[in-house]
Amino acid sequence: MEITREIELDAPREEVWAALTEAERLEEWFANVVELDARPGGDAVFRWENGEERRGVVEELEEERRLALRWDDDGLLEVELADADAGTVLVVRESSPDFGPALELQALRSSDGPTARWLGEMDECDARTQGAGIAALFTRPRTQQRAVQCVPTARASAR
Amino acid sequence: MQPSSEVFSALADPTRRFVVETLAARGDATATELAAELPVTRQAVTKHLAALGEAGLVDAQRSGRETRYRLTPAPLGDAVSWLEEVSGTWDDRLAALKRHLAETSSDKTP
Repeated sequence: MEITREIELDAPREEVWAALTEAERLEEWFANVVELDARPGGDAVFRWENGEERRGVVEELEEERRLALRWDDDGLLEVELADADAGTVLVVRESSPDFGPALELQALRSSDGPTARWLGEMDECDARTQGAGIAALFTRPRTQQRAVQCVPTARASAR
Repeated sequence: MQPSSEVFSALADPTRRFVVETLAARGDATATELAAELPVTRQAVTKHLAALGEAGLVDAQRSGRETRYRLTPAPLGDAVSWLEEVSGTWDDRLAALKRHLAETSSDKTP
């Protein structure tokens, strides 16, 4: 399973490649702080202002054509460039070993089964209490939890 | 934010997903009650519940002599919405790239 995006950009391939592989250019649109050694085996570090950090290694590099980056969680990011009439077509593919289970979970949610209903109730409850319900349910001491109104209805019918 | 990898390895197992479904349907349950609904032993269910607990997906609550398990909403909700989030993030990033390229090319125009 992978996530794929294709976009047509109004810039020549050379220009798009620079925006994808030069750290100071990447800092303009991709992440807040970027270190990238753009050659096979080179290290990559991306940091975002929310504290998120991703590390990887350049697995494949074909100048102005293709770049593959292996994340340290075993995910793979591939970018491919091709000439278009007015510019460049960029294809981005991201895959991760976690996408499989995540997809199964999505299937559980869209199946209209118990998990779907349960998550739906939790969302409703969250909306009703503006987030206080669920957060409070798991941060307050257990003795106070009974006061919280947000308990899925399935709980009552199970008894 | 990406859920921890324990969340996904815990959910990679179909039996554990069934445990999640059953807990969602019942509200809460003991290991014995879950074993009655699954083609596995009570011991196996206990192991699955421990794995789900370590990933933060279920919460154990002792009540008298029995331990009742229930789902914890936040990690499961995060895991479910994560794929959409990853897709959405790429849409945002590529829109930002497009803007960035437009800006840099207009910089060069005299």
